[in-house]
Amino acid sequence: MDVGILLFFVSSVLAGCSVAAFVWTMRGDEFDHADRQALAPLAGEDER
Amino acid sequence: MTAATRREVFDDEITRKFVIASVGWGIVGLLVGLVVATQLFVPALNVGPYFTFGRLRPLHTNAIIFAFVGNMMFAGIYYSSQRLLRTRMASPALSKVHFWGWQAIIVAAAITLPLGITQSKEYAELEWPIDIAIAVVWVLFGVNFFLTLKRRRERHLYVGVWFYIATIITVAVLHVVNSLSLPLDATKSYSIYPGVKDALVQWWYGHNAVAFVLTTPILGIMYYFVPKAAERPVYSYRLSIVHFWALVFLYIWAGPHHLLYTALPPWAQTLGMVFSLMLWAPSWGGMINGLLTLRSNWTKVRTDPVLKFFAAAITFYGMATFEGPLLSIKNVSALAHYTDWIVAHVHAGALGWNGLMAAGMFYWLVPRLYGTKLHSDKLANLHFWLATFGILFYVAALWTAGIAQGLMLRALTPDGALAHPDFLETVMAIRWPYIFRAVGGGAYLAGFVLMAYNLWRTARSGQPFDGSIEVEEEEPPQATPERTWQQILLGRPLVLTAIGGVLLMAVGLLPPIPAVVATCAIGALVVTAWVTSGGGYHHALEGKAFLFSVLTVVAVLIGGVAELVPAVVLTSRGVDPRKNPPYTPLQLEGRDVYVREGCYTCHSQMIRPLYAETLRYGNPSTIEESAWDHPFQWGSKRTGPDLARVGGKYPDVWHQKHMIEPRAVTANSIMPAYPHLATARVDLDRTSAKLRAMRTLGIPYEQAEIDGAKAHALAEGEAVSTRLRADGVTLAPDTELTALIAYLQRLGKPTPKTADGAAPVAQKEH
Repeated sequence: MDVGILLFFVSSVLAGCSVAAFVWTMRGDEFDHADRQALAPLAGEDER
Repeated sequence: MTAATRREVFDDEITRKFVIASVGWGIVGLLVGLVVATQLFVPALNVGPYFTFGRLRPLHTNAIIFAFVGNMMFAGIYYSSQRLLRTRMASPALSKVHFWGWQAIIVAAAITLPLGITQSKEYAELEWPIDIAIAVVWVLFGVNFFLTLKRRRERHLYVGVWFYIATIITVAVLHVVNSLSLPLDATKSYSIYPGVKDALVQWWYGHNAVAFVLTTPILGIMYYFVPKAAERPVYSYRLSIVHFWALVFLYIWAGPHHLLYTALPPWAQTLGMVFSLMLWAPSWGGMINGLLTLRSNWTKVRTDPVLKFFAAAITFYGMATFEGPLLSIKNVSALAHYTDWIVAHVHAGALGWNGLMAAGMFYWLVPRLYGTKLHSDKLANLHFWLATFGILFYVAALWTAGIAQGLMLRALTPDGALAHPDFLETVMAIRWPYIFRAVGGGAYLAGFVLMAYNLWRTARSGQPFDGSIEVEEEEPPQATPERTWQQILLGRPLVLTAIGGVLLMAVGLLPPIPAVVATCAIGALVVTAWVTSGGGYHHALEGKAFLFSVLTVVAVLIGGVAELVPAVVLTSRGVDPRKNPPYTPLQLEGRDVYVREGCYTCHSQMIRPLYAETLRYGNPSTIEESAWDHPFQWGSKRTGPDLARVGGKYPDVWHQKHMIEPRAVTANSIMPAYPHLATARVDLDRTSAKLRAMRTLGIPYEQAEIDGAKAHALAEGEAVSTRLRADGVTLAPDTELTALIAYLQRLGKPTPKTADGAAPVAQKEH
């Protein structure tokens, strides 16, 4: 039973952190940056 | 008004050189691998003294890791870094020194390893002069890379570059710390670490050679070349941030999983296991990121050989990084360790992840490096299927071999005795899987040779071509000011993460339930700090190469320091030299022969506290028993039985005959024959110097023992010769075989010093 309570508590904290992290990513402006940086390898160069 | 522009031409000649070197050395490394695989079922292929399994196996592993993958990694780093940083390499001269220096090191390895010049530490066998050369060449490579970072035209570092930074810094640290040794002469040195400490440092290095040579740079290459070939951006840049930091922080802790159930202190074993399990998450995060980058282009994956190789390589990465943590669980390790299951795991990574990534990169790169098209897509597709089925054949065969042998070795009869007391019986049972493994490896090699031909024809059809881009003469000003480095370092997220880390260490002092609650609270605190910090935090960090590198060093070193410092600095040898005296002079010489012949590649000297194992070999090994060993000889694979307590198990004459021709003593043995040891003489004039070196390392030899080492060794040898004569065998007292017999008879049977403090000449029970 103790383990069940502990697991519930740990799961709640993990779920809470996940939601908080999600909110953080939504509020931050890093998505735009991330999208731009993700394109870096695709930058063109002269090819024969 | 538009800014003035000019054309920046990249140095692609260095990439071409490294590609050619990688392909050439790859063939050599795979060929040697096929030879050593075949030696395991055709022992006659062991052509002594230079081409026995014990000498060739290190050549194979070094050739694959440092020559094939090493050169491939440099090719990928040079090509992608210049483009991601939008600048040429800072110094083409340093690039050339790097290339030729690295090839010289490989040639030195290819010469010295068959000669038996080795430190016997896996993947770090090369002797000290070559180690110094490696350090110098690596630092020059690092200097060139960081100077290039400094002159970059792209302010923000792409994720691929982060992985290169972590690689360059960490490999330097690993190599230097693990290679510290005391030279005896130009071809011989002794590790400065004794026994268990040496084991811990070695596997901290060994595991992270896998992590930071075979994984992180290849991940950097994946993050550049997979989007490039798929013509799609990386699936999730944010996931790559988590992937990077979690991976470099966690990987460094995982080394002790190579030492589960050994004499290593349990706390270090537990750390190694737990951190290995945690590695599941970032590893699979990376795999998912790589595979999903292909998500909207699966049609191309079906037809494009480059993407086929990449997709298969990333899949093998996922498989290998699932299997690694699985094997790190103690109960699984109890079965798998020392067996071919580990060899299967390693090859799923090396052939699957590294080999297929290399092939994909080469097929994409070479046409561009020579301004032409790939010679034959059909040949590339044939290579793909040969390689894929070759790996599957190889891995399935060795899974079968490893699990079968592991189960046989632990099988008991109903009355609790060993069901297969003869070790050789278990070796014979896996003879066919060994043959299938060689077939799989042969198919892989055949595919690789096809690739070499295809690439050669491709290069011949074009001309060397250097890529270029249009760059602005002057960097445009930043649109929006970013956080300064002080704001990053002293910002809430980093400060609270550091405080949280310190608090987490204190959590270990609490009882279990409060510890879990406290851990969650600390986690919540840190996450809250990041959530409320506003955006752009990592974005700003990516624009500061120096700070980024420093934080990478911190992330990497935390694990190393936490594990190594308590074990290496604070732990004493913990051995009473009166009860367990150091090796006698002849035993020490015999030990050097054991190291030179690479006996550790097939024999462990570490009995684990597992019931079947203690029945087979005797009491579990202790820290004290390897306290005098510089370097340790615990081994990692049992192609033959453990030797930790072989001393006194057989008479001298058994060893003599066994070493001359193993099959004359043990029918069907697959051990190489060592007849040359019976005629080669030990240079006893060097024995005093060896004892002196050992004393420098802290082994309590008296001055009289050092001065009289030669005479003592001769007397010991004479005692062995006398016993052999009684059995009708003539062997000179100063042969290498005599010394080896003296060493083997000592294992597990320390000879207490006599009342006057002198080591006795011979053991009575022989």
